[in-house]
Amino acid sequence: MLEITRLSKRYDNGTAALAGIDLVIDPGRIVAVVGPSGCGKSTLLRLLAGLERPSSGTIRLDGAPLEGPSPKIGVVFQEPRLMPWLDVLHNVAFGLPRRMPARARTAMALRAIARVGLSGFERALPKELSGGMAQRAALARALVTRPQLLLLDEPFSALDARLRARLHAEVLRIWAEDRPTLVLVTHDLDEAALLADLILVLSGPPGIVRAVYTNDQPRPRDPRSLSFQMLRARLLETLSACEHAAA
Amino acid sequence: MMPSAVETSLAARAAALRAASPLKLPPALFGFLLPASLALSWELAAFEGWITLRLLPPPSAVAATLAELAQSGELTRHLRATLFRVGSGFVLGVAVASVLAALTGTVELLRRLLDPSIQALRAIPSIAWVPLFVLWFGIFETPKILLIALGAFFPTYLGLESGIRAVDRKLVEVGRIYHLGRVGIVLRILVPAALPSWLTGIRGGLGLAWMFVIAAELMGASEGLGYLLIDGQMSGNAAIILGALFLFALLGKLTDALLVIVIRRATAWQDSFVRGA
Ligand SMILES: Nc1ncnc2c1ncn2[C@@H]1O[C@H](COP(=O)(O)OP(=O)(O)O)[C@@H](O)[C@H]1O
Ligand SMILES: [Mg+2]
Repeated sequence: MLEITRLSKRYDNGTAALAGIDLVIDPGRIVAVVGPSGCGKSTLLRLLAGLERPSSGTIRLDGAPLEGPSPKIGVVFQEPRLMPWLDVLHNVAFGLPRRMPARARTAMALRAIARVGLSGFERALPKELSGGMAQRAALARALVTRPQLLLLDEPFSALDARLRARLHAEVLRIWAEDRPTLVLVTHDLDEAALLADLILVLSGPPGIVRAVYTNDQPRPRDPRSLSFQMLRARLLETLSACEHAAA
Repeated sequence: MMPSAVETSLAARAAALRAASPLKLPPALFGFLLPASLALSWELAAFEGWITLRLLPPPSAVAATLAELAQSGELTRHLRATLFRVGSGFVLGVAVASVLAALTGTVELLRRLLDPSIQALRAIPSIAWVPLFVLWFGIFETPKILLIALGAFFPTYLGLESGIRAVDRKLVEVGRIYHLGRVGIVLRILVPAALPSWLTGIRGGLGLAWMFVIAAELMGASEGLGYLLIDGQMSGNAAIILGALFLFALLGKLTDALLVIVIRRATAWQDSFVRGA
């Protein structure tokens, strides 16, 4: 269970990025966070990742307050952020504790690589990977510790539409295997409606929760279905209201 | 369409021309083309009596002088002395520079404390230290090795320090996500990421180490290639000077080439425009 209570963030330069977010997420849910650019989506994710400290409020994961990065949490950013000097295998193994025996590290890394469909590219360097492959490797690195909370910050936004669709299917397949809680920041409403159980619309800055939509359509979802289109239309409406408010 | 007979024979001749052209030489040999032809014309000019032999002895005379020195064991002694000085000074300079740069590159407080002074010292031409070094350490090995170390120090320091400061903050964040401590981030992210810039600095340091060994040996030495230079000047023997210059060129180029091989291997992961650049 992920509990976010009155979470606020003001950066050192005075920018108020989040102003009192309250949210409870049941384990194993997929949550999409949408909102206009600059409304604090990345800030929320970075707070969850332990990369930033809240100015006030708390985050609890299974009751324990979150303080700094945790092995229970995996993160994928918009950029793959692979170490350019390490091959795929070692980039993925980078996510594992050093004190683990080398054999076990390799075995776990190989499994994660297989899960994202990169088998055969273990020895490839990042410069030899396409954008989609690099992002898969980043996903494998985040998955290798089998985190119970997976944070994705616009991970597919740099990819073309077809590749994105394929990765959506793969993320759902991987999620179904050990059902981590998944928080996905996106500006793609179709992506949100396709993947998420819960869709959070933020407005800001400073970011506040504008609306929460539950989406209980069974998976796989058909983007042409009436319920999908209606959800999408409501999202769009809320979002443009946010953008007008910001402008 | 079938190529005509004329076209075929033209193509064959073009291919033959291409095969005969010097561009076909292995690239390593290609670099020897210019010095080899220069040496040859020089030899010819000496043979024809167009140049003063005493001031500009031909390559054959230089080679003979070197062979003579080699036979008497003198050459080994001089080479060993110079190589020892360059080697120990270079290693010392690179080691101290690397530790200091790792510290100033990663600890903001140390950078503010030390970096301005280091940059100020850099502004002093290193040769200007010679009188002070001699005063402090005498004229034997210590001041020579220190001077060479000083030469290797600054390029290495700058290379690593600027390399660390240029590392993508986003990669450092990945280290934080995976619980790397300060030392872990330095060793597993900053050092590898800064490696290309560091190695480039070390390469510059090697060049300066060779430059400074001459300065060091000119300030008084009883052996070494620099001593040979002075010896040749004193005895009016240009062949010895030219021989020493030739050896400097050879050793400098050789050690640089070795370092380039190391650099290529260590930075093969870089996505650069020219391979190994
Ligand atoms: N490190 C930072 N320092 C200061 N201000 C920041 C920083 N990161 C983000 N901001 C500001 O906080 C607000 C929210 O940013 P962000 O969370 O990146 O939004 P989003 O991801 O929704 O586009 C923006 O106004 C942005 O300029
Ligand atoms: Mg963002």
